[in-house]
Amino acid sequence: MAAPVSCCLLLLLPLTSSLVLPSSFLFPDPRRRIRGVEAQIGRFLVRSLCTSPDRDAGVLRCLHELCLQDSCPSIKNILLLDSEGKRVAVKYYSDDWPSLSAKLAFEKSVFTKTQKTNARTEAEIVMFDGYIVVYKFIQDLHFFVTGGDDENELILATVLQGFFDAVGLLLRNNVDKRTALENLDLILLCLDEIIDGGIILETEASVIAGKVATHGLDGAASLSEQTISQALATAREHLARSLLK
Amino acid sequence: MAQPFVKKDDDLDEEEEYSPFYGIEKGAVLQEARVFHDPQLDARRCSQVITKLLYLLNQGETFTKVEATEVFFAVTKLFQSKDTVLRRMVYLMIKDLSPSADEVIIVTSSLMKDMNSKTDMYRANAIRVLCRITDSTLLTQIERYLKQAIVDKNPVVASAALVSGVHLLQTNSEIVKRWSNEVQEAVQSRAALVQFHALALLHQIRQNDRLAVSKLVTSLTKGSVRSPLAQCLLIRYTSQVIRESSTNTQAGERPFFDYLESCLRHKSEMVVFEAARAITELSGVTSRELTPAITVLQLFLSSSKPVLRFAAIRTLNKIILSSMYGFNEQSRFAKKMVASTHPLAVTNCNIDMESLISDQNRSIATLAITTLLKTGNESSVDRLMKQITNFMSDIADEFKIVVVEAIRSLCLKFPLKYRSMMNFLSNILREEGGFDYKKAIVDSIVILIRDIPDAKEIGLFHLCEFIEDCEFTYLSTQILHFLGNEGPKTSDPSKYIRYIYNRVILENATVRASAVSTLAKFGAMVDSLKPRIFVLLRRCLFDSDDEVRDRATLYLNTLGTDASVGGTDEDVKDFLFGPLDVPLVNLETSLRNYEASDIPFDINLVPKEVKSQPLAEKKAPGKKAIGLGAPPSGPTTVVDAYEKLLSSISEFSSFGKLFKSCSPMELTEPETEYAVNVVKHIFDGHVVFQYNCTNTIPEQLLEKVTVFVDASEAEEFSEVLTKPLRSLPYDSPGQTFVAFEKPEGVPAIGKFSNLLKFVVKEVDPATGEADEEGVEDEYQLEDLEIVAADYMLKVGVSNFKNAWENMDPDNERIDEYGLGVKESLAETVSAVIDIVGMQPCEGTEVVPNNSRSHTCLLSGIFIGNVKVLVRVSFGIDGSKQVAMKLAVRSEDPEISEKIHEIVAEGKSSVKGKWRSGRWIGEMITRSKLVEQLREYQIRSQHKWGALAAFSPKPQMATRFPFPLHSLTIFNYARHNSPPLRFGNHLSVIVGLAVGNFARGDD
Repeated sequence: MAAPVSCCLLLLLPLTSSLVLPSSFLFPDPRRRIRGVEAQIGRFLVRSLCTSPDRDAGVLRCLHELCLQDSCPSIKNILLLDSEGKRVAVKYYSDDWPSLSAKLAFEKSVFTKTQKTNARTEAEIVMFDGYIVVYKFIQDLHFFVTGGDDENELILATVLQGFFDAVGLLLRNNVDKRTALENLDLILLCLDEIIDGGIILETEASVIAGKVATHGLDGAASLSEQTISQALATAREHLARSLLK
Repeated sequence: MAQPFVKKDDDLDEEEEYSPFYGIEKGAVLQEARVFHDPQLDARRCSQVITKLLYLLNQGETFTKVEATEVFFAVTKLFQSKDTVLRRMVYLMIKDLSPSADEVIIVTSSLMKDMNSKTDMYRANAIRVLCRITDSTLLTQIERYLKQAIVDKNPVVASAALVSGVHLLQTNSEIVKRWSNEVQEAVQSRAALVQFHALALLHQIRQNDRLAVSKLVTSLTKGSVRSPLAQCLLIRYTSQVIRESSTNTQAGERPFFDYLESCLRHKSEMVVFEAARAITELSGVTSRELTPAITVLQLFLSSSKPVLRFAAIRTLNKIILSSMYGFNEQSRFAKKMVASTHPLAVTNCNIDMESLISDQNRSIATLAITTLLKTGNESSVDRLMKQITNFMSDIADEFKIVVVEAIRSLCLKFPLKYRSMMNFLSNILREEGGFDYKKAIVDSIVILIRDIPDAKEIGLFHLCEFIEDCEFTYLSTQILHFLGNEGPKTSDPSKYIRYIYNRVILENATVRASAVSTLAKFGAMVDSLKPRIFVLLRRCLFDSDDEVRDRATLYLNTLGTDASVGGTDEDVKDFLFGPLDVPLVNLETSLRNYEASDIPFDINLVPKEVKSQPLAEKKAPGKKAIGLGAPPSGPTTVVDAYEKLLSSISEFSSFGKLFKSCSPMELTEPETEYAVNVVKHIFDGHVVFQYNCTNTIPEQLLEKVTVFVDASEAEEFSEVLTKPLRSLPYDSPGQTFVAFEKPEGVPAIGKFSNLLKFVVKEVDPATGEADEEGVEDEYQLEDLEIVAADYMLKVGVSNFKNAWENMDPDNERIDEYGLGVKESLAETVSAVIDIVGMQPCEGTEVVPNNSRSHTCLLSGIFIGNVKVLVRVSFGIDGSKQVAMKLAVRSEDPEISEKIHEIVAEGKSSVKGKWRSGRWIGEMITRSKLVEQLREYQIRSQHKWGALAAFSPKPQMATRFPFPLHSLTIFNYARHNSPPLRFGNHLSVIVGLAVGNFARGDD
């Protein structure tokens, strides 16, 4: 199928002559984006870079965007919100939301769009603004995993399930906002063990929980300072660890 | 089992109290962080403080630079503690603080120690932290450890190193590329995720080496990959290899297809889906290849998991989309290839998809509906509409818009079914909804009315009903305008009057003003209604709003038999229905610059040149401006800038008003010592060349720069003055001007040769000072030509048909031309447009692929302010002979002749330019030409009818810019001009000016 690609490139040719090549033109609508043509375009861009050095600003930016088009599955963010849409723990792995307000706006729209759905037994899914969000609720906690719209939905769902189950294990099935906040360190460590910079580290809940919990080994040093609930939690952790091993 | 968490409203506050972070404050926590400095570290307490800090960061709190540094140094102290939890928290904290390069050094040694410790957990995490914060110099130090870690027995350590490698590849690719042997080894690891990470890294290292990727895929597809995630990756890489190899080998079996197909039977759904998706996205996939993938997706459709259903329906929807738009909108080859097969393959899933319409998850339901609307056939439309009606009430607006758009395209596909769809649209129009949703519906109805003549009356009726209870002013005014244009042409126009007059009684000022205009239109078009309209308009004279009263007065006068103001019937119609052929942005600037004086504002003085938009923006797809609300894209103010520049030069002030400034033309090759381009400014009796010069040599300073112009090949021109440029330093552009006189109002043409003359002075690069002495020098520039197109202003008309019919047919000149053999029709069309230099209207400059005939509509203003409209019909036959029929109408028959001259000359004079053979070959025999034209006319007759009635790309905004825009002008004048009283005057003046303009040029 050389024809369509060369056809595309022919169409692109006049474009590169404008100094500022809008990347949005190369990838106009993510929904119509065709994977693989990018490689061809990439080669084409490199060629045009060699032939006409005066256009390199635009071309280089395009190339950069092409390189970011990673074929490795990637996660844009993981959110854990409460029943009012407030943050419990969130982690962003992409620059799509550069500022705090952009992040909060995204969280708000995710929350309002999913609020009325019943995602308690099975993970649900929603697509908006070019993102795919899979989510699951339990008690007053809402779990979200966001990926690009080209992402395999089932991979996102697996990550969500891993996170969800791992939190369940770590909190001894006592999953609600209060417990989650009391054990925020565990939740944060859990997030850290699932994704590293957008790349999936681990999806198996028991392994994730195991990695987080092993760190509690000597954690119960000074019981005197703990509240009763914390003491109970520590005891549970010990139990969990022995069970998980 | 967890106890159900009972939450009542009244103990909400109490619940807040329970939060361990209730009332947390940054300052206090930073104070608490002092425990990190305690000689006797309390690990538990320290990790609690870190949790608090992390909580603050997580909530969006930011630390100042000083605070962050302070915390960072405090945290580094904690490496003393042996507590594992604390250590993990320290890692997290360091990552979140992302310290600067000079701070990193503090922790490097501690982290390197951890990297080589006995605890695997420390090692894995230390690697991740270190790679996150490291720079390239540090990386070379730790590279050895990282290589070891990649092949470490512990999968967690190996994964950590590999993932870090993926991240580092972006910044330090050279170093990471050296690890490929170790990574290769890791790919064979028994641990599932290590394999996944190793594969990802290996591919990224080698992605530029096609052969290596191909080899990698070949070796791995034989079946040593365990983890589902790694399988997914492998599928992606495989389809990449397939795509790239298929560009070379045309025939035969697709390589690796067996592998993809075998993945459809994998036990993990993730892999199955990835494979199915990969197959559907293969370019030029055949039905046979597609069937197994679709079968799998069909199974997913009935899964209990919403995610699976969603994934499947979305992929099916994409197949339909890709077959509808082709491989991509621009590629006709792929379109042909897939369009016939795929919908059929997806049709098998129709039953499963129909059950999804009632899916709990609305994303799934919407995708199901839109897919069905695209696969559905004429017989299933009614049933589908019924189902959708039930479904519409409980989905969000944005989904509704998708559905409305799908229905619109369905209706255009099956015009016979317009009745049920129109009913559906009117039903949903009555329901609650936001602005965007309503607008989508109204747009759809308007488009259906225009494209399906039978639907007109019923559609207008629905719109009338809608404005009876419409909360959106914008939509009301748009509909009123549309009604004004379409309503009078219906069988019984009087029935609309009630709806319109109701608006005058009930609505806000903007809508009332709009309704007044609509009434006037009915009055102008339908004579029997005129007396009644007059009664209604007279009532509007007592309106509380100025605008409404002004309009009513204006229309009463224009429509009235009162000869003092009113002109002929023709003028009135032109005024009411004619387009406002002044670009709004230009009008706005002129109004802004207008100062209150005795001289009334003259709309004829507003520049009409529309600067063409940058190509990229114009072509950007996804920005389909269908329907009412295509925003008027503003031309930039380049023309204004030129005008200002020229008017600032006193010598040119006697030349009168600038007619046109052409776009800059390069007179030098790029990358030469001096870059010069020229802008031609056309005045009535003069031509000014503006040479923009740039000196690209840092060691030179140019002085007394002039351009010596030899006009021996341009007899009608005589040089009147030259304005030299005093000095031209390095890299700061300057202008020099040369003015010519030419016979007034005559489109004289000619060729000019140019020579750049200057005094060059050496500049000392160190001090930047120029030598005293200079040397005279000259530099040959390319020739420049004044062609007929330079005397043509590109001015579009929004409704070509109206404009054409309003032009006196006596001034029409028609001629036929044989253009010889051309490569394609599109090329010919654009060449002709270039020759005449006119503005293509209604998107007719675009020639559909493979069409054998085309009609192009052009409009422009010729020098002397003569409006010109051109209708060119092209035909091409099998042997690529192109014939052209050119019909010109203008306000002056001589100009019509002139255009023909231009085209005829253009044909011959550009011969030299188009030496490549595009314009040669006029050896076409007369008989053949006649035959061709006859054939062409028969073929194109039908098409012309359609073209005249509707533009191919219906753009509502261009169809009725007037009332809305004039309103904006009026409102603008009222709110933005400094003295408020003056604003009202202005609005009347503009109104009258518009009237005058419409009535002719007197």
